[in-house]
Amino acid sequence: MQYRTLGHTGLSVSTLAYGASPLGGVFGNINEAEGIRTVHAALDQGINLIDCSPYYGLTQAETVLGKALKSVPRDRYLLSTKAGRYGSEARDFDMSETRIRRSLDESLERLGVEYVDLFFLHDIEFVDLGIVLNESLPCLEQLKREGRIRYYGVTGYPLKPFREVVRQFDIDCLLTYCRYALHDTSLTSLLPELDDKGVGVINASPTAMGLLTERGAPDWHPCSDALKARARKAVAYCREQGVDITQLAMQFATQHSSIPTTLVGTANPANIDKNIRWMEKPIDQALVAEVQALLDGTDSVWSSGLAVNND
Amino acid sequence: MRIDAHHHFWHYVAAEYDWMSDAMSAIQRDFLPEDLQAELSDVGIDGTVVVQARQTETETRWLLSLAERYTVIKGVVGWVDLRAPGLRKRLEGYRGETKLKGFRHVLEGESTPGYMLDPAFVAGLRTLNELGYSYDILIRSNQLPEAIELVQRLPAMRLIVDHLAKPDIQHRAWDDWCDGLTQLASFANVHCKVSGMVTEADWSAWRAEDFEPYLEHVFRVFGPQRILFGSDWPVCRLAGQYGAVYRLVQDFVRRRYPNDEAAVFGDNAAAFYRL
Repeated sequence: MQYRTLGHTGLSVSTLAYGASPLGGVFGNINEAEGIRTVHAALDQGINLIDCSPYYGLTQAETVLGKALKSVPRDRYLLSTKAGRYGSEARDFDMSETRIRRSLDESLERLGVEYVDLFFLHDIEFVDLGIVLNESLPCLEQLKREGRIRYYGVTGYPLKPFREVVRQFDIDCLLTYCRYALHDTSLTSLLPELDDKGVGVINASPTAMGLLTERGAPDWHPCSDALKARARKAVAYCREQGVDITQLAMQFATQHSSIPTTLVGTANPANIDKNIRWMEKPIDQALVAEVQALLDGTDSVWSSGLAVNND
Repeated sequence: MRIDAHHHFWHYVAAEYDWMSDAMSAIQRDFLPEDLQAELSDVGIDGTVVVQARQTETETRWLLSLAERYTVIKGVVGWVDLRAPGLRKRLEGYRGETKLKGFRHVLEGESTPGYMLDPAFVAGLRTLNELGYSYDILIRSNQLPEAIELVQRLPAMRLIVDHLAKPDIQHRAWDDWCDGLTQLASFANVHCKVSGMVTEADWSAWRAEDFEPYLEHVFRVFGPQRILFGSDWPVCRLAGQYGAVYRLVQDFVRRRYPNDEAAVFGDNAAAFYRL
């Protein structure tokens, strides 16, 4: 496993990080014991960053992760969780100071730890950015000063709110998803600024939430039908070349030097090994170019959250 | 001391270097110590191990005579017919040749399956070991399964795999090479030379990134204490100049194993070959 530095936090993070959302059964029901074994397999393979959220499986992921971490010394991993999102509806978002503080307490309780290394506001595009800037981020700053969390940042899909947050706050880290993958690399427009400011970037969902997999996008996937159709073509094309598109997607996402770590979510220990192996293999740059051409379109980005926060 | 643990010299005679195809015209000429000296000075290397390129003892004697005249040559890896009867007696003829460190056979050129597992060949290697010589394993990656069987039979011998077992870098060959090398590295007496990479890539269009996964894997499984830098000069000139080949490895080591540069570029070679 390779390790890179997460921005100005100076934390050395494994190139692959473990995304714990599948422990909440988001992508299908899971066997808890299998999920716990997956966490241990990830740590055994040198993965040292685990990301979770109270939203995943409506607290179930944190609970299962907490069980898995019980037997693991706290200095063996970096732990990240989030606050502010607790469901799919508008009313399930609350980024007020009171809720964030309570949320952190509840997460620490479920995770069975004294502190988290990274603490994020979860999917900021769903709330009024005024609240994020005037209440939520000052609260995270305060929690950091209090030593309750080591570093803080924001997560989301559209890039616009990120630009505003980075302009106004010295956040430590940023968690983005689906914006640096084979179908869309628009995150690169933001990377120079993040590099300059030392914001550590965590990229999630290298397969664009299942779009770039043999199984294909799940029903709830928010992208356009046209992109789904293009993705099916790309999947078939890779298959004809004897390559699993998920391998190519993983290799592509993990190669960017300004993106120190990429989250991979799974509740199957064998997938940890498979992903690491894929990441280590030489990448077929010619195939990347062909697949990107097949996926290319003007509708590769979808909307998420409040209209005013979209790109 | 900084060491180049793998290069060759030759007086070019077409009939004796039949492995050089028409595509290799760039190296179909003499390459002698005077030619190498400037390259070494440019990168600050002050000792080398010269390796056989023909399968004759005449060449071994010639390399030893060069080593006597040119102090920059710290070690010679020669050739001897390991399967011949009377090997021990033959090797006794080299008594006193302190720069003779080990032997190599061009196994990659042996098309007979099982050649290296032939009892006579294995017995020859055991004799080398008893007399304190090392052995350079020159194979292509499809010979890894045989090589793994071979090293199982030579538990205490100083063994080194040349050119990372020659993975087909140009076509990004991976799985068999990756697994085979992992297995070879599990034997603590086996070392590995990071050499000969550029000639396994696209000779005219390789980029430094092409080697990254291979270097990562070799260093991961062998660790920086069992890896030796070698230029494979002048063969490397088919795909890159000495300096380019040197910097390729140096850049990687400085970036990924900054504390191990002295080991990879000298100390490991001195220990392995007893220079």
